[in-house]
Amino acid sequence: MAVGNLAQIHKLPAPETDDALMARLKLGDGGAFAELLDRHTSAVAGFSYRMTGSAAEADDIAQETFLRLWRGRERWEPRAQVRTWLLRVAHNLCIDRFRRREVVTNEFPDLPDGRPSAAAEVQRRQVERIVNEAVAALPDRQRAALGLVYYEGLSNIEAAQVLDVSIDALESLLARGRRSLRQNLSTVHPHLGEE
Amino acid sequence: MKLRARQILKAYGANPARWPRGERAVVQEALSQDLPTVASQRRAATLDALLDAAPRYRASPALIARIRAAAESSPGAGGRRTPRALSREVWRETLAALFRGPVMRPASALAGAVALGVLVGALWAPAEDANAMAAEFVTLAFGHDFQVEGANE
Repeated sequence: MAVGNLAQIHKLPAPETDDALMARLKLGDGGAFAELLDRHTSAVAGFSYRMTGSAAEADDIAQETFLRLWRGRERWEPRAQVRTWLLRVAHNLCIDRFRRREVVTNEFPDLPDGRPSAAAEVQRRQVERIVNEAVAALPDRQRAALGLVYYEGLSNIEAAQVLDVSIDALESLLARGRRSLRQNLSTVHPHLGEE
Repeated sequence: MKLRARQILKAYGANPARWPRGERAVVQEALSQDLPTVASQRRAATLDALLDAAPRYRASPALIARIRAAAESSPGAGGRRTPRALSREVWRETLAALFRGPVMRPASALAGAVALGVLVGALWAPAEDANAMAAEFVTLAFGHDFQVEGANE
């Protein structure tokens, strides 16, 4: 039985690469677009939320980002990874919104997580709020670097491509961001500010 | 090596999965030999734990459905259109909208019926009346000063 299951698992086709999906999308395949949406919408919306502090703004930016991919699909050149391209577009859209001053960056409303409320829950939410506010208070580029590498799990090479900086510059942004966070969060954890 | 290991911990945090792939062994080696590097990792882990407290926003199925619907209803031609092609498309859509409209639909049907009636009438008219009909048509259209050759023979 177990051997049979293993055989079945081995017969499963390997998931299509993003490049293969983009090749299908160029031909107008809506199924390929749906698969790319499933794979990358959370990263784009999550990063946009980290940047803007607003769920509604994050959703709008994610929609605009994917519509740009859809509309420009025939011109797609496989020079960049799809995820890197999407996050770069989302980052630019965030910066555009900052320039138009449409965004308040320290809203960060509580996100529903389905856990029961209790005294510990109240304390947890307080810590969440303080952390969110500390992240939101970082300069845009430090927040973007942290969002890409820490929260969205991009490699240093990918994150540097998204932000259009060298890897040394990315590391500098990350180190300065984390240093600021250690200082600003020392009220939550007294030993955090120590070097 | 130790200095680079501490730089990596300060930039990327305590989790090896976030360290640059090619330098993970360097950090692991420093951690096995150098107490200040171990202390640096402990501090990084404390900050990581706090950062993990911040909830991550994830796309809802409703958002994914919204984006799919928006893509399906967008023009989505993809390729860059030339101004001439764009102009043709605007005209085509404008005319189509006009003839789809509630006002132009009966008007276009009436015009079609009139044209069909004229054609059928001309085909069924007796041959000897053809010149007279042509003269009458020209008179109606252009006035009495205009003559058709052979109409009064």
